Amino acid sequence: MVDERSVVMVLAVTVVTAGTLAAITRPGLWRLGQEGTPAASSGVRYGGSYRSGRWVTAAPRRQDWSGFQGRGPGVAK
Amino acid sequence: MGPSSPDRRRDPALLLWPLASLLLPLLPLLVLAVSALEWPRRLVMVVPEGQRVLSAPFELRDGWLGSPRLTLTAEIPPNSSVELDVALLDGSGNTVLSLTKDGWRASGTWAEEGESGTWEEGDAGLALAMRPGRTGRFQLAVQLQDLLDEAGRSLPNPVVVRGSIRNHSVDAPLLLFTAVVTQATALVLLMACYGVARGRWVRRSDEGVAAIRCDAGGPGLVRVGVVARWELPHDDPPLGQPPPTAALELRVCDALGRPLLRHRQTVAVAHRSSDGDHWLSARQVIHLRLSETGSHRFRVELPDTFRSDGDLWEIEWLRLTVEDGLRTPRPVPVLSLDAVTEAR
Repeated sequence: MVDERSVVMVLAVTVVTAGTLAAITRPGLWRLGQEGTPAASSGVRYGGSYRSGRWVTAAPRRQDWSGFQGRGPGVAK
Repeated sequence: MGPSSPDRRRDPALLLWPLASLLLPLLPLLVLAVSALEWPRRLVMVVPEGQRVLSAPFELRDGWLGSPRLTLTAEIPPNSSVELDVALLDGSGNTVLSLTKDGWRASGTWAEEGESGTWEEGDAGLALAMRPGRTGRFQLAVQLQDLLDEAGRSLPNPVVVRGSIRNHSVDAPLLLFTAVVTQATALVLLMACYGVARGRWVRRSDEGVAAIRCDAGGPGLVRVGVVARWELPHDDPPLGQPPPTAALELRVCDALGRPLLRHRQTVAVAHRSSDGDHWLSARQVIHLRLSETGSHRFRVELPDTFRSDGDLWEIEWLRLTVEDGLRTPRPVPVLSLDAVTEAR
């Protein structure tokens, strides 16, 4: 019969190993040449995307962007 | 049979390996600390509007040890907005990635309920985490578009764009999350190893004597816990100093009532008071090793009363707790009944 304490210890080792390795190797991270684009951070838009391993530039497009995104002094205090 | 003294030999109930689990959360934190030691490659570009400026060449490394992370920040004036076009060029000068960042920076003053101050907000930076596919030299091409003030007027000043490149960045939030989850798992393990008894019995008495008969013994230790409280029969404060110690006696008998152990010791008595109430309390934990499983009777006795400097302290309650099959993370004094059992 397996001791439940050993199971919890194995679980702890598994969690720390899997989490640390994933944080280092980052297996899901986008790679140059991969289809699409990397994840976009705030206010970023990509000028094209990868298709069949080639960077394909998108047609120039001006966004209707008002410029300022600040929420004003009410929340900045 | 006589009074037993604590056996200070290493007890088989001592369980050390679960303590190693406390080191596990340090692993992701150590990785995070080591990754912070990587010195980033700095880039500085002065970019006039409408001109395309190339950065110094830099290397992006491919591999499993972390991943490249590139950050850029445009130092634009307060109350302005900009479009920052960024292209990543490979060693041949070909564009391998291009993006546009809509940046802005706003500031002002606030006044509310007699208080005032300044505020500033902005978002003129970007971060790019990716793998290059293969190690190589790259460059950034940066161009400003529409550097405008609040009124939509063009600002002529060039903008400083600062960048940093790390080739071995790690997923810091995932490392912190891993450390927290591992710590929680380690605490569950410690609780399972040291906090869970095979059996637990509690008896509360209004007198200075309490006894429990239960099936105990076998692997692990038996922990006998005693907590007692004495009070004055009136609400007046005590006239003198209460006694510093009290005599505690523990007796253990087997299923047939044969005595296995008679242990006497003194326990410290603490004087406590709160909101005009005064009481004395005593607390003691005794560990036993019962090699044979069976019915045992545990009986503890403390003084019913104390007379001290004209005060008469009377026992309010006595709580006896018996826990069986415990393991300990550190050596504890253990009263052994093995010699008595073998001699029988």
